[in-house]
Amino acid sequence: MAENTPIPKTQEQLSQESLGLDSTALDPGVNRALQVSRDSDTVENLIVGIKDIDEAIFYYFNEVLRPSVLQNGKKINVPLVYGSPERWAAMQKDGYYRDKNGKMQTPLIVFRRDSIEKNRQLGNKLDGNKPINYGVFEKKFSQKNIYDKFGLLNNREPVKEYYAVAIPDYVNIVYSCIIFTDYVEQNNKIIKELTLLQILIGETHLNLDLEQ
Amino acid sequence: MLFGSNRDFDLLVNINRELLEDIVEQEILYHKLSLEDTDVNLYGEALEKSFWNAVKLNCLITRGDQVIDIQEFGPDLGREVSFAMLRPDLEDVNVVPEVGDIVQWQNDFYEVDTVRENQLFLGRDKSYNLTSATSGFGSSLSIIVDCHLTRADKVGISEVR
Repeated sequence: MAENTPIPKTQEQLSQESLGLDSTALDPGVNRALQVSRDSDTVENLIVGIKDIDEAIFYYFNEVLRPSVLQNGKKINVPLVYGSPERWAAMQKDGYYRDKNGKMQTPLIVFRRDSIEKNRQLGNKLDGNKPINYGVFEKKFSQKNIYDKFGLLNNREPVKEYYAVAIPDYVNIVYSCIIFTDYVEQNNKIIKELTLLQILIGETHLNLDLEQ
Repeated sequence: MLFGSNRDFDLLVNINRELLEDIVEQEILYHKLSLEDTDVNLYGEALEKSFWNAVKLNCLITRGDQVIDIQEFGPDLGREVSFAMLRPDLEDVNVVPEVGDIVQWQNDFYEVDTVRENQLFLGRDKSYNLTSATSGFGSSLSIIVDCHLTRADKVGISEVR
């Protein structure tokens, strides 16, 4: 005969009871009928992690900003590297900014992430027991629901489009950046280009500590 | 020129080979990374590394003492060791020592920090002679690699846990 063991209460039920509320009125659980197997699903979950943010910095420097200097009459793109790579990678794999003996070649920008802290002023997922980690927003007008009188005159029903947007964990990240150049003039040019970067994306989001 | 010809150098190399292979008999395995098969992320790191087959070499080993460094997380072993190899031996097996290579010695793994090539026969290297009169005279004799003990787990050549 099977033993009748009690089902332990969830944290949510315990919280409700401590507040004097009826814990049985809570959502009974997940509707398994709505669950879909993702065994053969090739679509990955959208995750934006710390590495993605670092990659965004990389992308912005290399593809948008593209800092360059004039060296011996030639225009040279300034490579950007993340600080403290593995020795073999720095000396063997990244041949671009070293000569055949391993001497570092300038110009070069080295950046690294100094700190990361949670920003609690932006967004709030409120209750830890029942987090609201996505928001649903209605798009007022779209290609199917154009803002004109044509639809109104033809009695077309407005089409509503909704977006479920994940509420991120907002963080403040501080990067430091060291610019290596042979000449002050080259350094000036790079600083000028980075100043443009600050204007474009805002000083409050990215503070660059420039050193020669 | 009279001294430092290829014949003189070959004599020196043979004596040194005999010394290293038959008398000193200190052996190491030299691991070189396969750069084509090892992907680096934006931090300049590779979580999984691929190596070429290891090459056995005879060398002179200058062993540093084992040093225990006590950090916040407890004691950690460190050791610095230098391996001096004959350059012609490396040419024979087609190995170019570079910073970041791995030397396996006594089941420990040492990462190369510095590659020194500063022992020139009669102070000359025939690869860099500027006149035909000095052509074929002088050669680089040895390559010394200074290494530090690294974590076997990070290298990933053998299973340690």
